[in-house]
Amino acid sequence: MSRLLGVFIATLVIYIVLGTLIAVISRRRLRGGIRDYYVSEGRLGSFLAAMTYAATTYSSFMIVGLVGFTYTTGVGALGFEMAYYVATLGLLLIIGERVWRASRERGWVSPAQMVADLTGSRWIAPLISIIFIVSLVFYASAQLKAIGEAVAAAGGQSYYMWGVLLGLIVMLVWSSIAGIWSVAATDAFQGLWMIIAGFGLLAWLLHAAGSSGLSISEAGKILVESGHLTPSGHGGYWKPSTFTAFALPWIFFAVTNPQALQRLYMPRDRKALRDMIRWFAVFGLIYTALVTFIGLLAYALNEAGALNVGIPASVKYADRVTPSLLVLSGPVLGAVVFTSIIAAAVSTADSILLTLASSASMDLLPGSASERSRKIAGLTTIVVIGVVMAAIALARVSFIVKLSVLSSLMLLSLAPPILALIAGARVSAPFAGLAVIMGPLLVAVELAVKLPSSKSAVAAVIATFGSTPLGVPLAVWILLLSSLLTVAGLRRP
Amino acid sequence: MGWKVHLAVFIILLLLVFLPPTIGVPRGWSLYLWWVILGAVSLLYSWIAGWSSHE
Repeated sequence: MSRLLGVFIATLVIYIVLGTLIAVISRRRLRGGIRDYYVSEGRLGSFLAAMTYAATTYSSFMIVGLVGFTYTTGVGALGFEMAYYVATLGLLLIIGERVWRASRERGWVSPAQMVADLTGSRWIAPLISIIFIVSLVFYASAQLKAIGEAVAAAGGQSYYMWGVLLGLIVMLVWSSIAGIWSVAATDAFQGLWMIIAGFGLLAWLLHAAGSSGLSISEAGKILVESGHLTPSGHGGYWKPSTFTAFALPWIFFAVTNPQALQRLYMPRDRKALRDMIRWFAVFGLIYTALVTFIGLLAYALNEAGALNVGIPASVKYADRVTPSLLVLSGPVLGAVVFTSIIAAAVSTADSILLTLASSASMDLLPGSASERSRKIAGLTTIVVIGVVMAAIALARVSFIVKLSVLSSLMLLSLAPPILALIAGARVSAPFAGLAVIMGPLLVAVELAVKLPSSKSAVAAVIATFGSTPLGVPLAVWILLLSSLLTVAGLRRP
Repeated sequence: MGWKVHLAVFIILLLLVFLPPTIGVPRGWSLYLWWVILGAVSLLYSWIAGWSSHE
């Protein structure tokens, strides 16, 4: 057994024991009702509300994908993340209090229930619920795959399956012990782990730069020459159309992703809501600036010969950068950061799992279903979707990650009707229904068009994400058509 | 301040995020700082101005 693997296993045991202890203790706050189980009956305090929002939003993509993406393409990766960040803060500021207040008055549990209530039509809830499940199951599976990859990188390829199964068990246990209470409490623990590990990695890279005599200004010169610190990026990757294709689907994340929207139901009072948004913003800014700086510095150190990362600056190798850095960083730091990848993946995936369970129990069952039936449906959904996620992750194909990126495109069409309804407009249910299916429909059509001319299914998915029918990015088409249908469905008060 | 002012402020901030890939400047660490500072301005705005009207 390598030294890294030994320390990694010890760190992992500490992480799992501490997290499980926190989850068990959080049961004291659980009262037992279905609204309490999924959204805490709106009783989360400032700290838990902020940390669960941050840890749910920032997945393993940050410390693995974004570090590698910045290393291989340049600072444009920070730009598109900042588009998400600025837009999310704006949306939370404008709609946050309205959604929070209405959720308390109307007793909402799931986001699809909110749309059904605001359109006055119950049939739209199952439609949206199915879109959520189809779109997010790949995103959640990608998190399980990230856990498998982290364990495989630390211990060897044969450990991949054990990593996926371990991740699945941790998610199932932590999300079912006390519902949102155990998810929020473990999210807080995992969020702190993620940011501490990120700072540890940065400190090690700065130490490596100092030891080799590479100053920040010299690193800057290297990065300008390679294109990393230019708007067009390394190899001209960040064309305006590419930047738009990446940024646009994430701009509406706060309202289109149910695990994010549902968190607005949870703060216990106005102060907790305000603090949730403020401290999520602090966490997000620090974490985003941190991981992108790590990616840039790692590239400069590699080019200067101060660190042998050994990964070419090509986007297809992006996910290999962080594991390579961790192997170089030594067993203790490597184990802490490897565990932070697992923490980031678990905190995102168990939140998605619980949100999908809430959607299944509130939106797929008839209105007359008893609370007991809803609880059983929710728990069944957690187990069934968990097993499906693991099965997809065990296939271990890059296709999953690419499909998870498409989830943001599929969910994008929810933005116009949801924003209109939150703003107080009356949108007829048939038009709202047509608007929300524009995302999955256009993505499916585009995939069908791309498949015959692509070398593989993966290539078709990548081509779909970056496709520009009639010269306009697909994301713009989805937003445009969904907006037109929403406007067409507006009714007079 | 009402929601229209917030909307206008955040649309401007978002357009400023899209500015570098569109016009091709700045370069170097200034570009990194450009995006970080825009994030910091959004944070400060939502922290101070965004909630002050309600309090």
